[in-house]
Amino acid sequence: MTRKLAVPFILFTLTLLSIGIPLFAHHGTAGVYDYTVRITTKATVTQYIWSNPHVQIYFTLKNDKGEEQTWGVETVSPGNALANGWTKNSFKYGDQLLVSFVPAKGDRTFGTCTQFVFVSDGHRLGGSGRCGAGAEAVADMNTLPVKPGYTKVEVKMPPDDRKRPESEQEQ
Amino acid sequence: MIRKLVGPFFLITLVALASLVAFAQNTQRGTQRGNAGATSSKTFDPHDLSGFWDLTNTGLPRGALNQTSNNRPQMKPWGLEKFKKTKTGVANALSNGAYPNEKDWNDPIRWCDPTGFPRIMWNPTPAGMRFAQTNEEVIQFFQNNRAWRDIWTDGRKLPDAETADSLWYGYAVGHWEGDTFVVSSNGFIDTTWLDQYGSPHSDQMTVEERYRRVDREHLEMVLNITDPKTYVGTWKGDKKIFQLVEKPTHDFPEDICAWSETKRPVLQ
Amino acid sequence: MIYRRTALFALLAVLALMQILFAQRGPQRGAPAPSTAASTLPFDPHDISGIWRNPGGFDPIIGMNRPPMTDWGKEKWSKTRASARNTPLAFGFYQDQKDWNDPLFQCDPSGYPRNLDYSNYRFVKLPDEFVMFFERDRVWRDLWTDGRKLPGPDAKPRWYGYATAHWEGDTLVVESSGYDERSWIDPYGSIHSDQMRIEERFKRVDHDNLEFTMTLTDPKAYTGAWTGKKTLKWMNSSQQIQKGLWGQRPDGSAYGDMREEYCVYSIERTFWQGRPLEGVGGEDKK
Repeated sequence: MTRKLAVPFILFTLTLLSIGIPLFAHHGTAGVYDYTVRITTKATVTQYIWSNPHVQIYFTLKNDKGEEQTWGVETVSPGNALANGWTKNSFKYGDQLLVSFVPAKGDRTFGTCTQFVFVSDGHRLGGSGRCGAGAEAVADMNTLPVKPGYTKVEVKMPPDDRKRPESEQEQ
Repeated sequence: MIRKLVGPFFLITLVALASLVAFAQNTQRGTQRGNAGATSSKTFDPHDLSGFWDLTNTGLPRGALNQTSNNRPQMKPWGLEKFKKTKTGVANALSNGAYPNEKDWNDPIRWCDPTGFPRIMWNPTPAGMRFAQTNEEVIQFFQNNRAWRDIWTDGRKLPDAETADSLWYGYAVGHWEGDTFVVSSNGFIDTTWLDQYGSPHSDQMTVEERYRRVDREHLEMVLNITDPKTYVGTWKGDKKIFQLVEKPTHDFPEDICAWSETKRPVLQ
Repeated sequence: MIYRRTALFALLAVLALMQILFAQRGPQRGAPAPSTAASTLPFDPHDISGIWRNPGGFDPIIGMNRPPMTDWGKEKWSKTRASARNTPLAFGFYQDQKDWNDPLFQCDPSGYPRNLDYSNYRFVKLPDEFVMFFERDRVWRDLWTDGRKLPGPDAKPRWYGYATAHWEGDTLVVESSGYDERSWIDPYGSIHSDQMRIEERFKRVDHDNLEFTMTLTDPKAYTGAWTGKKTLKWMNSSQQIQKGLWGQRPDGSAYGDMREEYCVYSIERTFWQGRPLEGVGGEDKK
């Protein structure tokens, strides 16, 4: 198991060092997120907060019971987001998305490592699968099982065919 | 014989007169040194804005120092709605009335929001301002907030405010029209006030400044604000006069607002 | 066995190559990508102007070789609650964000040298100084080269201190003092007193590379000197601004700029208070 993770972890570490990104988030997220499951479903943007310390996006989605929930995901700082091609206009209220993210532990409705696909034209923002750091690192969150309660609403994400490797900053 | 001497005599007279005039001018410069307010005849380069400059009240009515001008245009509904939420302790032509309880005042610089531009030119302190020039820009430093603006003179055009990040101090480019340095700026965050009285603005605001160094010690500035979302027509500024600060090893005090020193609650 | 070793070797070689590729990924199309090899562009060794890339956010230039603390220093350090983890430089590891007291989380100025961690930097040469501009906090330091002396110990402490600079051959030597002791030196909670003095040495070895050595002394807080060294890379433009923000120069390279990065308490406070993302960044105690 360790062997399998060694190579991706080395890649992960080297990549972070080469583009000058802190190896550990400046505010520790240890113990906050559940890196063993994902939620992958349709969502509608309700809020886009383009400000320090972290850009946040809020969206509504439905769970297996048909209940509408509002989730919030944190991403990177605006400066880092700009480096990844985001702008203050990247999301608008009402944008239809396919999202895949790692949720918080328990029933807290927030998440991280989010992948976004815009239904309107299929363009992608956000991470491509790598998530977490240190002992919690996940090489490819797309292989994680879906969190119970969200299995029926799972959607298939289109493949990530972006030419450039996505920055680790997306996490 | 006399006719032959006329030419040289005329020449000598001319030279003597010229010397007299030059001598007189030198003396005049000497006596005018340090004469604040008087026109200086010291040589200066009108295309050089460098130096530390203090804002003066020259030519302005009392109290006019802390504002663009008294001639704020009529506000449009969007602007008016924003303005009606402002609360200060001042009652004057520009304010939304005086609120007696300081705890109600919601001027954002009270909890250390950046002052923003153009308010930093005159408030909370008269602009401790410094110009420096390189071959690609004019840098405008401010004592307040320890802020600076890059006024690019390298040929670039202003960004599109619709897509560019909105900034506290905006984006600026400058060029010379004769002896006047004209600055155009845009891309401003709309949460700042334009003055201590609560004058609002939107992110569509553009600002034009015209600087002219009239003599070695004095710099004229006119600053106009155009914001079609907030005001009807352009808000034309007073002509302001800056005076050169003559101190060989001058420096600004560090004037950084830290919320932890105020601990003021943030009022919306 | 040999197979595995060869495979691992090959993999590491590929990773190293990828690292170089990543490092060369310039922020602007058309701009000459900064090369990891020494640049052959002409340069003036007495001019450190330009935008220089932050070598790595949480890997401070001052480095990790912090000297032992005095009793005064230890006592001050014992009160810090950093959010960073996995380092002996921090007094402890605190999972719950409610315990953290990093002054940056209430938008205190980063101070110096900490601001080096969060910014790319820009030097501009003026007749009487080098100005050092920062993205984070959007402040500058004056490195006066006009012969003035640092103010004495009674000078009002500043978040960013006072600095003077002079040339020793091709090395710009910057001396600074008068630092406000509320700031941390790094994200781990390393403290300092108002007696901290910093000596920096900048040497431009070629167009793209600026060697940067920092020596920090603070007899009130530390029993020895703290030294770190990094090589800074020249950038045409910060990677933290929009691509194409200012368009292109006639030669096709992008007009460069840096980011305006203010920490504004009224904006950030809701994030750190856990609203509306309640509990984000730390365990919820409830």
